[in-house]
Amino acid sequence: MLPSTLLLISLAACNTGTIGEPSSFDPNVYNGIPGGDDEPEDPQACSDAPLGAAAPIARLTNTEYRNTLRSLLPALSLPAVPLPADVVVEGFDNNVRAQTPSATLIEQYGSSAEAVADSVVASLSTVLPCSESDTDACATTFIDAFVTRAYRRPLTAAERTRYLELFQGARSEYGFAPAIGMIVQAALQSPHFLYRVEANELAPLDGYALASRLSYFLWDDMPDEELLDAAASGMLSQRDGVEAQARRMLDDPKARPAVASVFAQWLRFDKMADMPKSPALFPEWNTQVASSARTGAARFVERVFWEMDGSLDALLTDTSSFVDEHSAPLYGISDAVSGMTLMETNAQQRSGILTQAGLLAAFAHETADSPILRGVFVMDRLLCSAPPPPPPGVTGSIVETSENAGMALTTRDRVALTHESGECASCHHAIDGFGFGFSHYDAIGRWRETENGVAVNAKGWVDNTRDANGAFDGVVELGQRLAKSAQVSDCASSQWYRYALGLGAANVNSCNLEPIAKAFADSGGSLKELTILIVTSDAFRTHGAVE
Amino acid sequence: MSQPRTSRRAMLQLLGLSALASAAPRGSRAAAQAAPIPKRVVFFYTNHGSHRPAWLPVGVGGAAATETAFELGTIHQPLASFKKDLLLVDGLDMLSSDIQTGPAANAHIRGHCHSMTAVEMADANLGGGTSIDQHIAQALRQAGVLTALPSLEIGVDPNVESRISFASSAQQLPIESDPQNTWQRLFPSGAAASGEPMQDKRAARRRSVLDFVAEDFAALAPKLSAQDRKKLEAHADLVRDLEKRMAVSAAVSCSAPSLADTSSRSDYAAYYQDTGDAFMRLIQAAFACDLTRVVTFNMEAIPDELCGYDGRFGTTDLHDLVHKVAQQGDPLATNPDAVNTVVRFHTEYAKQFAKLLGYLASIPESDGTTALHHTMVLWCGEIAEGNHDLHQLPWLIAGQGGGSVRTGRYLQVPREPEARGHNDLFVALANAMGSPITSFGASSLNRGPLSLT
Repeated sequence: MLPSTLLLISLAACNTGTIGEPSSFDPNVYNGIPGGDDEPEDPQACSDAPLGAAAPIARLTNTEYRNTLRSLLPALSLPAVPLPADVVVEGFDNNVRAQTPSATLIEQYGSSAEAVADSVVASLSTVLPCSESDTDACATTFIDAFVTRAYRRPLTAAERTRYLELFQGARSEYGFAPAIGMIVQAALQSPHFLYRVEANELAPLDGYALASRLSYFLWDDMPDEELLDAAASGMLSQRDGVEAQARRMLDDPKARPAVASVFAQWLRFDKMADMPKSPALFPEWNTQVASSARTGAARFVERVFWEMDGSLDALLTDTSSFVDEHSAPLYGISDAVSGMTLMETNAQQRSGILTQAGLLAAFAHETADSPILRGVFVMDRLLCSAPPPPPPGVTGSIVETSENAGMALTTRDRVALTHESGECASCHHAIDGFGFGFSHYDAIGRWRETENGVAVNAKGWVDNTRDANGAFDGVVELGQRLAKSAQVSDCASSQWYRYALGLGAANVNSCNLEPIAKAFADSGGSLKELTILIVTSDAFRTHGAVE
Repeated sequence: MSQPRTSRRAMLQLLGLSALASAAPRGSRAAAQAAPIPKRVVFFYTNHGSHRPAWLPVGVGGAAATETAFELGTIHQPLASFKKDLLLVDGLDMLSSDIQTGPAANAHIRGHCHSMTAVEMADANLGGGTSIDQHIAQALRQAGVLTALPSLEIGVDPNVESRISFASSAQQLPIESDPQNTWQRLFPSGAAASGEPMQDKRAARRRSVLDFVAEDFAALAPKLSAQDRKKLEAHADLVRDLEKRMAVSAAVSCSAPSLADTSSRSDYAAYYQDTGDAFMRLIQAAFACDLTRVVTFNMEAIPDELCGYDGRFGTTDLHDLVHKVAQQGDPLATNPDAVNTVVRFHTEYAKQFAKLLGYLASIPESDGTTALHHTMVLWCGEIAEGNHDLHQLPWLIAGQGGGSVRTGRYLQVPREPEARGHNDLFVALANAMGSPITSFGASSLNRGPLSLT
């Protein structure tokens, strides 16, 4: 069974349990259910106990690492460091179980730390919080200022002493400036900088650990002064305090790229990075058109989140699109446009993210559209019910028969001939039901009424969902159906929750997720509110017990 | 601990200064002779298996191909000049995939995860054990072999789903796709500083810092859960290892090859070939200078143009064509043009493979052979045939591994009474590289090391 299926089943099972009201959470009272992961909980166990997300220790992703360096030393221009790519699991780059340290990574952390230290030494006066005087006092001030921020928490006395000793030893050997550089070089390779270290106990997170969880989720960056102050003051031990900080953080420009990144990972925008198309079949397509289609999709989700209150309904049904002179033809827009412009599109043809040309082109082949890729996308990313892969030895060949020999086949025909019958049908019937609904969109995301001279048939069906089953005609109708589905709503909750904590689908404790999913649905499906629901949840604010 | 060696002649050849190389003073050659010649291993990785009818060798004079009397098949024609250096290994299965109970995200990911680990997957996306390249790198390290880099994992535009190298179960290692980054790792002091050890003070500061950091990790470990401790220990081990390897980097005096900028992808076919070439020259340099002994090199992303594919078969892409040609009953499986295109796809890979062998064969060794003689290059991949079959892997070894492999042969591994897994090949490779294991991957599938001699 697939992990995502498991989640949905356990999620459904959780609905029958007794769920504590979130407001009953008292961070100081525990009655004992460890928030273990991997195991779907007995529904009866989803009681009113605070659970805590048993997230293993997280290392900064490459994006987080780079942003953090910039925030630590805003006055310096820092060298680019080629870090090995983060491992992407189930679409997300922050899966805490897949963060393998490699020799390359450790070397690059070393080179980076050294390069940053060199920059600090080269512009010492701009970085030092004291006059450039060769004193222990100045070094201590620097340690307190820099290492504390690098660790995102106050230093213990022992830590401060260790850094001072490192400095003193280095100063006698190399002089004052290189010794300051070594403080930087060491701090940037310390586990307290590279990892988000949390106390290993089933307990509410201390304010600083929670501040880091917040800032790396909402900003992909370290906490700022105000957030660290909130941690220090105890404000973050209260749900209201966390909410106030989270709302402030969402209003900060740093949330923009971070939220864009969640969308991009959730909705597999990486597939839009490179969309080669057959020049013979699609001479209109080139890298500029591809780039505009890609940007249009990114702007679409950005607008939904920031200007439409993160409405899941709008994500799936809004009929406006961002187009420019290159992508307008894909949308059948003949008006003169210059630069990315928000345009009303033909509402019979375009509605929601599923009709964005960039995404349609990404989930297609070089020479043809792909009902299968598109169908699996909907099932995996929006319904959290990805079908299992085809068994080994299956290639999807069309077996020529007397009936189909020499026929002008549409993509739909080909797919239907390949696997709408026989053993493949058991899975493909579900996939194709979604995929056939996309038949109006060719491999570069254009609307078509006919294909190979045959009128397009975009009739599809939805099977095996909790609440979206039934026939539909075209993606506009499908999007409207999905927008009303609780399964889609729960899936969105699951995807964002998993990203917030770096968890794989199989590692989500459904009892932690269920109250969030329920509140999200109750809120009317605002993804913006979902981020607040996640960060104020018991799970997010509690460290689970990890075996 | 092994001594880093300098093969001045090889490095000069890299720089196009072979005339000088032949005039190299005899003394430096004599000094090099004192050091044992290291064994190296390369995993040359391509996708979509092969096309068996064109992969199989053919017999001589109408007879069936035998172990020693055979001619290379169509796909291997680019390797003709290396025929005496090849061991075609025919008939091994990825048995670990057969015993897998859980699902894989797709048939290629399944193959990728099994191909080098030979064990059940950790989950639908990740390999379930240490891959053979990493096992060998770890074993060398444990045996006291310290090179500047424990291993290289590199590839030309590797697919994000190509999960090949695993440090341990589910711990996938990244594949570097930019030759410039690999160049930087191999030659941290830069080309200009070649021959100069890193500034002593800088190196000393690095060591002090790494020491400090290692203590940080050690102090933190007891406060963590077992699971977190494992994660951080892997990191801390690498920090300590880096500290030790620094001494090696500083001692190696070796010239770096100059690489052209290959970052532009506007002409993808040129990008593929130039980037591949740059990586091959880096492998050559790394072996000549003994900077690493284990390389995993993924060349899977061959461009359509090189294979003569232009979409004329009505398939969605080249990948689709490869699948359909391998599918019994598909019209394309009997379409000569389609079959030839797929054969050309694999033949182009053979050309790349031949190029790599050429680079290795240009590194002279002190015993009068070349580095190819002291290397085993396994050409492997994620599936056996375009139809996703994982049986009868079309794999071959080039190079003699310093005498561990008897080449110039076509090895037909008996499939009766039962087929053997690629586990047995990996045990043999590990043994040849000095790791005395008797079992690799899923233990139930091991039948003893495959004899390579």
